[in-house]
Amino acid sequence: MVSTDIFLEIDLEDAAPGMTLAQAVFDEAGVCLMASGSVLSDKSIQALKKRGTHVVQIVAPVSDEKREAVLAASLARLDELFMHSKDSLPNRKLFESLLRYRRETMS
Amino acid sequence: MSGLTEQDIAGAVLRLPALPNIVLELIHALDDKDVDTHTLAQKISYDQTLTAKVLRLANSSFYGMQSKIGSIPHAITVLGFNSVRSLVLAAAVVDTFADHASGDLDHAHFWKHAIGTALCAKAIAAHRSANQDQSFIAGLLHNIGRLVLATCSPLRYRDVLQRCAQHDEDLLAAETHVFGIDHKAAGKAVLEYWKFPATIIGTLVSGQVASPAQGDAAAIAAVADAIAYALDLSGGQYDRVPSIPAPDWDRLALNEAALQEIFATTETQFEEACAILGATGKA
Repeated sequence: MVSTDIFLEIDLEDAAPGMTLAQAVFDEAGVCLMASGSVLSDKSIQALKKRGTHVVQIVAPVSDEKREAVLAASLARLDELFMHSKDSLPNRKLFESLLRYRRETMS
Repeated sequence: MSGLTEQDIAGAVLRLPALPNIVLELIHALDDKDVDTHTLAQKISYDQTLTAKVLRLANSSFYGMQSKIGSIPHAITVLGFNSVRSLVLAAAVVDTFADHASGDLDHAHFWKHAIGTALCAKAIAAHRSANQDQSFIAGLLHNIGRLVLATCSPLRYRDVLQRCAQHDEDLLAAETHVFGIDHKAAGKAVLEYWKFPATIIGTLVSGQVASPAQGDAAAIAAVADAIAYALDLSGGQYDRVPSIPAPDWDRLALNEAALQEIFATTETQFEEACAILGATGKA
């Protein structure tokens, strides 16, 4: 899962095979029915319905343009978060590692 | 404004909501090598809300288990008693404070940062082959003193938040200015009241470390706190990354590959852990 992906909560009625779960699904007793990251199939959607699930969290992919805008915003936010602490050597190193991390996970 | 006395702090600690008895028992057993896990497992199971949350955490991406864990004794067999204990503590502490009014302190924001720090501390500990469960607990509780200060005086805590917002002042400095002490000192008081072992209390005060192992634990908490802010997990408008003490950073010697992995692990587990523990809502 890429960190620019958007999480959406949808009715199980609207779920379609091929969608990826952004969050694990549990039954009322707290037992995990499907893990986060699993891909829904016809069979699993029917099974979830039978177990009383009504909504699921799915991953909604976004366009390249949107992705770039999100990356730019997240780099600007990084500057803001570190605005008071870039004089410290450890913080500068951490900042550089995060720049790489954001660029790699978001592009 | 006059500073807080030790009595003021002790009074505020008493006004905090009480943790469930089973949780206090688990805390007292933290340093105990011969705990009766069977009896404790039974006692945990009596609390159904707690049990449901712990099982959801045990079955989350947090552990990445293939088989489903259906009961507390089963969780202890698969994950180990210490892991289950840290999950119970996390679930109970967040739950206990969920409805506790303390002025302007934003609870969702507070616990999101605490959970992010806990997950990150656990990930760092895994790299250092340090105690992952104790690191998780220390990370979760590293800011608990803010709740004590906000309970002591919601009005004065509002002053602290305003100073941070208006002058972009460092939180610890603003707290010291308004209260005469910062949240680390207040946190130490509450952890001592709950009888946490010295290994965990010691992580709140880095710089004055007794043993190498304790130094590691304090460094992990300090660096995890900074990374949780740097990853923007709590998303607060005035969140800023605190300066990491150079000795703490050097001690952990995390290389680039390790850092990238720690970022990814922390981020992957974060949303799910917050959803299960009930720390949701916009900061």
